[in-house]
Parts: sequence; C-alpha cells; structure tokens
Amino acid sequence: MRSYRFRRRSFLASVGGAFGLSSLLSNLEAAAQGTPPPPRFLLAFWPCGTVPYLFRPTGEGRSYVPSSILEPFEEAGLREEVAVLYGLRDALTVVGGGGSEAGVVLRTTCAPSPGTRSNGGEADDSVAGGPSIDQILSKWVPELAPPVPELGALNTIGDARVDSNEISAQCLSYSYEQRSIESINPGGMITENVPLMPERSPLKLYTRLFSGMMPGGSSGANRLELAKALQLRKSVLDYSLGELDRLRELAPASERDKLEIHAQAIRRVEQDLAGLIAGGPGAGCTVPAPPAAQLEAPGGSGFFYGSPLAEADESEALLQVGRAHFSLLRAAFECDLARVATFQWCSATAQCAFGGLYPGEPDAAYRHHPLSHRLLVGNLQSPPSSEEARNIAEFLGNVHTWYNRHTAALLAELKSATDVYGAPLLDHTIVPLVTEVATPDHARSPLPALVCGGRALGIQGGQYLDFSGDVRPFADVWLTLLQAYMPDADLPQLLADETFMIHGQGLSPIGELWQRPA
Amino acid sequence: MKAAVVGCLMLASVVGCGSTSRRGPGVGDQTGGAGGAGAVDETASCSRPPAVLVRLSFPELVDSVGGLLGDEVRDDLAAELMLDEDNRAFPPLEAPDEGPRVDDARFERSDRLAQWLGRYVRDNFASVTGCDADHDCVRDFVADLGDRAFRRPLSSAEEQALLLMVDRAEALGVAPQYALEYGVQAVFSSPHFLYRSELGAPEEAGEELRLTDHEVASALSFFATGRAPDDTLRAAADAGELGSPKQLRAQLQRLLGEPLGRRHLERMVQSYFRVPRLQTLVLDPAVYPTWSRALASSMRVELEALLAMAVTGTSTVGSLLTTRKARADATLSAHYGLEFPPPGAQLDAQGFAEIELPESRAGLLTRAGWSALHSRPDGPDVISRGLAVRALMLCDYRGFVEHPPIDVMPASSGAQRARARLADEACRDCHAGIDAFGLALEDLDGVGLFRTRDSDGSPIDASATLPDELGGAQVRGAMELSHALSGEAFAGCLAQGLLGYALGSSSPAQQGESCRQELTGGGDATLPELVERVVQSPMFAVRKR
Repeated sequence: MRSYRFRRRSFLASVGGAFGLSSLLSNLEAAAQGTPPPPRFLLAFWPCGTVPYLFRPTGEGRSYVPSSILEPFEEAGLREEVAVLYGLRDALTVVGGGGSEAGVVLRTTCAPSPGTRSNGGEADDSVAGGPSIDQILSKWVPELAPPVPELGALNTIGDARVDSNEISAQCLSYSYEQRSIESINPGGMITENVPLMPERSPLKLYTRLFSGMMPGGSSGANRLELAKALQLRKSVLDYSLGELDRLRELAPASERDKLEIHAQAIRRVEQDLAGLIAGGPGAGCTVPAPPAAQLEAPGGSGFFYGSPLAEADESEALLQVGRAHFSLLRAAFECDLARVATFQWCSATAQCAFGGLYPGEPDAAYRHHPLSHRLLVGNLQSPPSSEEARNIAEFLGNVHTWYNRHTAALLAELKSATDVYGAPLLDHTIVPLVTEVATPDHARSPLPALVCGGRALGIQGGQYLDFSGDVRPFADVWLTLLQAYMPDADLPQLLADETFMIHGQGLSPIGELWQRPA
Repeated sequence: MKAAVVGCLMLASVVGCGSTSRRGPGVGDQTGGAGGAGAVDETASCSRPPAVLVRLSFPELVDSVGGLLGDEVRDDLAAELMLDEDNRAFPPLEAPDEGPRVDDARFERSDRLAQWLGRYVRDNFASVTGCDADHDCVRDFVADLGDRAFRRPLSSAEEQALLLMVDRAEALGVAPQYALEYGVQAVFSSPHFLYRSELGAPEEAGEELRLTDHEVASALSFFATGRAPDDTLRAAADAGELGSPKQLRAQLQRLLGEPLGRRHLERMVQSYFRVPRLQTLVLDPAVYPTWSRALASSMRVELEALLAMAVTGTSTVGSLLTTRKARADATLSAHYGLEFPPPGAQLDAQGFAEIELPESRAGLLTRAGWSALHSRPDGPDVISRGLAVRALMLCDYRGFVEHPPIDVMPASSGAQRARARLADEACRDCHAGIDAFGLALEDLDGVGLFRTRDSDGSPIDASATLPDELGGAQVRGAMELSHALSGEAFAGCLAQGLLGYALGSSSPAQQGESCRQELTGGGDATLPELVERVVQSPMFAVRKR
C-alpha cells in the first residue's frame, strides 16, 4: 500500500493536468441533470486501398452478401452497424505528391494539396491544403468541441514507419492553423495546414489523458490538498496574465495580437481550473491501467521497394500497439475526456510485414506497401492473368482482411461499452474507416470506405452502396457526416468557406447513408 | 514513392520571373503571416527592423535554464520536452513545432517546462536553494532567479508580483518547498522569460530607438551562444558597457572564443546547410547498395568538420566551396576510393583523420554528404539541387507555380528533362536560373561519386550556363560551379542568413544586394567576421517604431 506522503506528492504533481477531474465532474453533473449523451467521431484508417475483386460484396442495398474481406464485420455481429461504400471518386489536384502520401491528405481534407515538403527525403511528402474532417467537425459541431481543450488533438498510429521522412503518410489530422514552409515541389515557400501528428506511444497517450486523475481517490485530505494546489496554480496563471497585460502596454500595436493569443491560451486553462476550484474534485470513472512502456509504434524511414520480403512477421506488434491505443481512446470517450479522435493502424506507405498471408508461403513475411508495388496494375475488378500477380493480390486481400478482423473486434468493444452518461458508445460514435488510394497502383478512384456506428445519429448501416456508375465525390461522405451531426443546419451556407466545399463544388449528402433520427 | 515529375515549374506572377527577390530562413515575415516574396530594392541600404518581442524557441529556453540551474537540469528538461537535440532549425523559430506566437500547443509545452522546473526545485530544495525551510530565504531565491531568468534587474513592482506567489502559499499553510515550487513556476511561465524584448527604453523618443543594454546583451548572447547572457555579459549590461562598437566586439570575441560559443556557431551553420538531415536521410538500397547509416554518419562528420574549419576563422567563407582539406574515416575514404589512413595521418578516437582530397574534389558541393542531402532516394535531381544552391548560396527563395507538362519522354533522365525545359520558351525563363546549378552538378551521383553515365546509360553532360547575376559564365561540373559560386554573393547570402538568425522574429522581410554588400564589407570575409559585421550593423541594436 502506498504511503500518504507518496499519494500526496503524486497528487500534487498531477494537479497541472487536473482537467480530467474537472471534466469528469461536469460530466457527472450533466448526467445527473439528464443531459443527452454527446456524439463522437473516430476517424479510422487502413493503408494501401484494396483489391476490388476481393473486396466488393455481391448483391446490393440491405441484401448484400459480404466478401471475404468484409466477413469479419459479420462475424463480430456488426452488420447493422456497418455501411459498405464503393466507387467514390477523388478528382482533387496535387502538386507533386506521392500516390500514398498525397492520398492521405486528400482523403482527410478533401482539399487540393499545394505541394510537397522539403524534408531531406523524397520529393513526395504532400502538404495539406485544408483542415481535416476531424478538425472541421470539432470546429462546426458544438457537441464535438473538445471537452478538455488542453488535451489537444487525439491522434494515434500503430506503425509510423515511412519511406523517407514523410509526414503526410503518417498523419490523418490537419489543423485550421496555417504556416509557411519550404517546399521541394513546386519550390519556394508554400502554405500548409499544420499537421497534428499522431501519438506513437500508448503510455504517452495514457499520461496525456489520465495523469490528471486523482491517485488515492477523493479522500478529505486529498480534497484539501487539491484545493490548495489549485489555488496556487491559478495564482501562477493569474501572474502570467498580469505580466502579459503589463507587457502589452509597452509593446507596439503590431505585437499586441501576439500577446493576446498567449493570454487566450492561458485563460482557457485558467477557466477550467476556476471551474474545478468552484466544484471541487469529483468521483472518478474507470481509469484504465497504464499500458506497458515498451509498447510503441515503430517510426523512422526505410526503403524496401527492392526487397519486400522481411525477416519476421511484425503484425502481432502492430496489433498490440493498435489495441492499446484504441482502448485508451475508448476510455477517453467513456469518460468524456474527448469526443473526436483519429486511429491509424499504419502509415500509408505501410512497411509492416505480415507473415503467413502470401499464398503457398506460410513461413514468409512480406511488407505490405513494398509488395503492393509489385502489382502496379490498374482496375483489378477481376483476377489478374499471371499467377504471381494473383498471389500478390491475394496477399493484399488477406492483409485487408487482417485489418478488418481486428478493427471489427475493436468496434465490437465500442458497441458493448457505455459512456459516463450511460449511453452505448458505438451508437453515438460515427467511425468512418477509410484508406488513401483505391488500388495498389495508387489510383485515386474508385474508392472503398466503410461508415460504422452512429445509429443514434441516423447513420444507416447494414447496407452496401455501390457508386461505381455515378460521379459521387468522396467529400460527399464527409458532408453526410456533418449533416448527421447537425441535422438542422444549412450546410451549404454554413460551410461555404470551407476548403473542401469550395473545391468539391456541388457536393451533396448521400441520402441512403443517413436518415433523420426519430 | 511517386512517379517522376515531367514538366516545368514557373515562377508565380506575383514574384515575376527573373526577379531577384530573396527570402530565406530567418529573413521572412515572422509575425505570423504566411510571408511573401515581393520585389526587393537591390540598391537600398539595410532596413531597420521593427520593435518587437521575440519568442524564444524551446531549445533556447532549455539552454537558458542550463545557465541558471546547471546543465544536468538542462538535459533532463530537454528529455521531458522531447527536444530534437540533433536537428535544430535555422533560425530556431523555423522548426516545425516552433513559431513566433505562444498558441495553445506552445503554451502547453512552456507550461510543462515551468511546472517541471517548479517540481524539480521543490524536490531538490536544499541543494538548489541552500535554504533551510525558511520563507525569507525562499523569497530571496525567487527574486534572484527572476532577476537572472528575465535577463535584467526586476523592477520593484515585478519583484513584488513574483513574491506574491510565495506569500500566498505561505498564507495557505504550505511548506516552504511547496511555496517555492509555485514561485519558480511563475518565473518560468512569465512572458519576461519566454520572450526576448526588443522594445528599447520606454522614455526614448524619435522614429528609431536603440535597444537597452540588457536587450543588446540578450540579443548578442542568444545569437552567439543560443542561451541567456552569462554573468560577465550581464555585468557589462548592468554597468552600461555595451554601447560602443568596441565594447560589443570585445564581448562577442569573448563569447565566440569560449567552447559554448564555438559549438553554437558550428551548430548554427550545420543547421543552415541542413547537415543534421543526414542522420535520417533515406536512400534506396537497390540503387545505392553501399549506402548505410555508418556511411551517412561519416558523411555528416565530414561536413561538420568542413564547417567547423570556417568557424575557426582561419579561412574565408568562400573557401568552404574550394578547400580540399577534409576529415574522413575508413568508411568515407573507401567510398571516395582513397587510401586510408594516408601516410603520417593522426587518427582520433573515432577513427577520423585530416586528409587532402584529390584535385577533382574540392569544397562543399563536391562532398558526398552534400550530394546525398540534395538528391532523391533513387538518384540525383536537377531541380532539387538547383533550388538548394539558389536558396543556400544565393539566398534566392523563389515562389513557383506548376506549369503544364511539356512534351518530354517520361523515360528520359533528369538532365534530359532539364535540357528540354531550357529549350522550351515557357520554362526557360525561370528554369535557366535553377536548372543550371543542378546540371553543373550532374557529374556527381546521389551519394557524391563522380559519374560519366546517367542511369539510362547516356553520357553525362555537366555543362551549364550560369544565370546573369553570376556573370552568365559557362561551367562544366561541380568543381567549376564551386569556383564560380565562391565569391561575394555567397558571402553576402551567408551574412543575410546570419542576420536573420540574429534578429529572430524581428527580421526585415528581405534585404537587397546593397545591404548584403554592407554586411560583407564588399570583400571576402571569414565566418566570424560576418558574425561580427552582423553584430556591428545598425540593424542589430536599432529598431524603428
């Protein structure tokens, strides 16, 4: 048993992150007052597109028969929670970017990419030309605004390895904030929407999310110490604000914006603290056990296109990091510390090696994206003629099935979980599952996608929607989700200045995918 | 991975093709806007930067903490903030996670810094403060820490505001070390610690204002050492002894003569030339089977040694592009095809020795690390190399827009595509000023080995016509290009870069040719001389309102 002294010191050390307590307290109060549970959004990603002839279901609408790649969702009892989409199009322009690298920023921002970053590697690291959907939703949907802004964007990745220093391949989330960066293509300085990099370490994510939780519970002694610590912490913030005010009087007008932005950042934290001081510490929701410190997504660069055969199977390690990240995101949703997050199994230039998935080679492990480069043929609506190409296609299909099996297991956990308001999580969480390219040859269309969960928000699962014969831009999926979160909003007017709306030109929600909840 | 770009790039109309507008790291609009490359008056003298508050980068803050509380604390704090120690930006605020403003993310980080230091001092109360659970002693420690952290004497009101933290804690019945924790937090979360002031004395009148001696001391110290002023410099500022060029020069010489200053200047020029990127550089092993982390590391050491020579001031900056002196180990020598160790060479503990490169290989552009840094993973790239030379050696950061592809066979080599661009009227106007440099470097492959044939088997033609601003001369190969670039324009560009670094976020948008000449003195100079000219320039200590 830990001593009181240890608890007290740990506790004081954690006060800087006491937002968890504050948030929990307000949640519990809201739940007690019968406030409806909030919606949530989790953007999930699998890499390298799909093999269409192995992915596409037969039949259509609600009577579709899933393909082997989609079977894991049936087996997990999620058929009614999953809408399968195919044939979405992407006609956005990019300056320079690589097939996979540009694909990620196009998918999540649905905005043209203005160029590629100068990063010492290949000239293919596309930058974002607009904010990503998670940030758009956080901005426009009041219920999706971060309940604890200090946590920042919650983005995770299970394997962050890329070809050569690319950010785009490993980042789904892009802020509204813009900055000027040195480009390699088209050259000179260009403007990008700032990438919000994913967390690789589950333990670091855990610390971010839960270090503010009170160790030792809400004993009387702890409460007293907390109250004092909060008062002193607030004094420090008050002091900083006072000094900023003093400095503002001395600084020229051109510097006052700079100081005001600084002051706003302090005020946001102070406001939260003030609420906590007024309310006092509350009881807790379940804080998960910390993940093992050694669990961490691998990172760095490597070029394996000449030799996609790996020395060992790496999928188990990927699975462990992915599961750990997902369980923390689920806990953050349960405790209402966050309402928007992204979950990326692997970077788009997926280097993870999967063992036993190549036909006839049970002991061999191949790297996903490097091997997909051996199948740079388009279409793939039917099996390719050569045996080697068919084998590679089957390997890629098996990898996609692997991703779906484990994603389905995680979604099943979400389905059985409830939030702090007592509401089933998956019903109130929309989980689009997307990829960056259509096929291994990096074609941008026709894209596959899944939209999972969100039944309480009107998402219509249990059906297959094939847009192959239509011209249905991928951005329509994002617009549909925006409508699900804001059923009464005039979206064309509200979002008229959003980059994805400007470049989408004439977007319209997918009627079959959403119906106004009763 | 992506398909090769087949097309040309054209200068954006806002810039104007062939203009000499220049914008580089540290010389752009750092006030938070996107910046831009407007036309520059090349004949104008250096313009005075505006009065501003310069946000200090996290490495600068952490290094300053090292000066206040010791380098062990510095190292632990750097780990806590996950600083990328090997890969600092030029100038510091250009790093991806930096910027001129304290927004939410940067506040979260600086708040973490302040809280961590508060806890550190609390947990090491006796050894750090020398106090014995005595509130008065704690108050004295906080006041003294504030004085040193803010890099100037505190006003009475400022001291009272800081000590209020300690007094409030005491009133709540908190033990002295916990009261100290919040006092220390206040010091390190104060804007006076997080920003460097360039506002001058409040009572000064007129269109131009001179920075106070303490502001000058800070500007000098962060430029020359990357951290807050040491006790000697601080004492000189306290005594008002930084007002004359002679006094400023003496302090600069002193700082650059110390290991901290030399190391900082070395890291500064390494960052300028992107050398740390070698650490994470990726090349395709199928194209370069000899490429390895060990080779990359040897290349990095070679470039760092080359730049360190410039830092000593024993040769002019122009010699960076012409010298054959090098530092190599067995790995790099084997890569170059040289005998190692050469007769009489003294090896250091890491197995490196001074060597003389053959006549065919002289200066930065011919070093393997440079070629590797400015190539694609699967081969050399004319445009990348051309842009790198323009940006880093001529300070020309042009804005470009993509031009529709021209009719070039996709399978043709980079050099063939470049020559096709030069033959095309729409492309030539701009690409002549870019591709010329890349074409002249065509005799070096992606790992800096000389080559006579391209990847498709065609003979290498490394001839190029340099742009008019370099006299329009014909050059062939990296050696001739190096000599053509080693003149005053290169020194002026370096000086402009150093000026941008010195000014932090307060730098003027662009400087013209006349300004660069002012900084270089119209002749060839050593790197320490350029640093001194920047410090002695009126732009260093004078601001416009």
